[in-house]
Amino acid sequence: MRRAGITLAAVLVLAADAFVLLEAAYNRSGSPATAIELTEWELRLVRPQRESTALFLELAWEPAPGRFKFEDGPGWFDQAKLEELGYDCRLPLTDPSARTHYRAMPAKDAFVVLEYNKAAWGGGAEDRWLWSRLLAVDAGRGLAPLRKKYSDMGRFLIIPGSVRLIYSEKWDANLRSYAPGAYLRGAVVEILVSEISVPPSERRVLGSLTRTSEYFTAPDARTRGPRYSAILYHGRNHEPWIGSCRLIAAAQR
Amino acid sequence: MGESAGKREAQQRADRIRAFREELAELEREGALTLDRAQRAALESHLQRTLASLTERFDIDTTESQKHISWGMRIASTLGGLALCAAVVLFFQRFWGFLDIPAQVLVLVVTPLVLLGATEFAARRERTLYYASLLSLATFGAFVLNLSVLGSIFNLTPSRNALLAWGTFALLLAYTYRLRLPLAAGLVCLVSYLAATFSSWWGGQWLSFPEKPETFLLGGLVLIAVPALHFQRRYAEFNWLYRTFGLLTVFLAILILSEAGSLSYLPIRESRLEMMYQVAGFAGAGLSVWMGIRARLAGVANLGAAFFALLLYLRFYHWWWDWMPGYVFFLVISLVSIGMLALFQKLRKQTGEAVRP
Repeated sequence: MRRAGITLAAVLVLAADAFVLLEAAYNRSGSPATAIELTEWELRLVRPQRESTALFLELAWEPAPGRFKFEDGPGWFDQAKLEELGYDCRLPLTDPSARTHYRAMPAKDAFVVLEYNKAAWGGGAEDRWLWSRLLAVDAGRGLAPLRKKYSDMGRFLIIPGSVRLIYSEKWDANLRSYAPGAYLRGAVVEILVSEISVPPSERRVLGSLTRTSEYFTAPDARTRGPRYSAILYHGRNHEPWIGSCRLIAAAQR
Repeated sequence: MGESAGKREAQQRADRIRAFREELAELEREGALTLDRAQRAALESHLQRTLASLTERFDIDTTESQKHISWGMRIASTLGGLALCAAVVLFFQRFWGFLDIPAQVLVLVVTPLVLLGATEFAARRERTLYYASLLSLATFGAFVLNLSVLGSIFNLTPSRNALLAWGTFALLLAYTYRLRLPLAAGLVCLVSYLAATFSSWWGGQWLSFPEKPETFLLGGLVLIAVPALHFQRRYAEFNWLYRTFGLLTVFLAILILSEAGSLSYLPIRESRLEMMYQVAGFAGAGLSVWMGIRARLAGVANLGAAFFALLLYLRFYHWWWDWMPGYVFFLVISLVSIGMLALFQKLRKQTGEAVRP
């Protein structure tokens, strides 16, 4: 029994690892499904822990969670889109239990379309200069219809993410209650692989840089702009990897 | 009889011998029983031989202080295992950046295999298995690190199948060496895997499974049922862990749903759902107490009683807290507690009468 147990445990380790490596090889086999060059604004440099030597680029997109205002309205991610993604929105919003009913709905898997718009937020006020130029513009359950609709691979990323139904309402501080006019909207809450490891070959480019969150606090960050760009590939399983990274010289900015 | 089952029975016998010696000394002091010198010598010699033989074969605790030290060793081996896990993870993170991808993969694949070998080595060298337990926990941690870091290196989509692989691996370690620590880790992984699978079947994202307590119910019920399996009879020392973990999972899920019905999948009005789960909670707790007393499983009965009390106090809070003065509320709680105490006392007496010849 004991020998069988140890053998099975060892076989399980090796089989699981072989499966992972085959998955990774399959994803990167053939020509990439998408290849797009993004800057530090969209791929933010993160280091997981103080002692860690690992380096990741985190995909940032807009609207980032928490950026919504009630007045913005649902936009493209309205009730019809939510129903298309499988949310049951039949309970009227006037029902007394609507708030708790809709707020308890879990996130769902979906393909998310991110459009890379270099000109977005140009000359914007407040802190918009540091917002990502990748904008969530659509979501769907199937990949093929989205590929057909957004065929420009250099402009649109179609990748797996998760979406959530939001019961949106406005709090009236004077009346200390919610104002009428609640509506349902959706939000892209997560990209399934948003933290992408920097391969050892590219560490020499990015290794000496501070984290992007620290760089944003530097006084000249706004005028200097992003410090690097990287080519982001997606493969057959829609899983990403970083191709080559390059530093953006000050004169080019 | 398996070695561990033998050890359990050996320990029970050693405990009985210790109790017998204490009672014999008490009876002699009270004058109820007097052994002559020859009888005493023969008895003492027999008991010594029995204890020596049990210690030789199973490395059991023969005194109260040995038992206390064993508990300390168990705690130390758990903490040591956890610390070793953390050391392996932090060591890899510290040097990850200096390795190329093939070297990273090699280190990740080899580490759990080396630790598995170390666990086997320790298990062969030491019958008490404290070091094997410590190393098994580190082996499990290394396998968790293995799959999660490989996923990070190649940017793979998180998959619930990793939970299945980790759970199976931990159970293999637990059943191979008869260790409880990896069993507990494995049960957490497998219950989470079942919950994630349900979440996915219901159309949600699998990672959102903790938001829906109902996804844990089936996993909890399965764990409660495992000790009844024929296969499990050879591993009776694991049964309490299955029952405790299963009951805690089910009770916790019911407790959350009885307070927040909106977290349910069922298309029923929230207030009705909460009431439904409150009734289910009281019924489940009552059943647990009854089963615990009937099958002489103290842990099951105590857990059921604690959950029953918790549900009851929560109901009282919802019903009375807002309109009742604080002192009256706590007086009522105190009176109810006294009532429950009387009820349990009566139940205890009846149970005592039932087992009396």
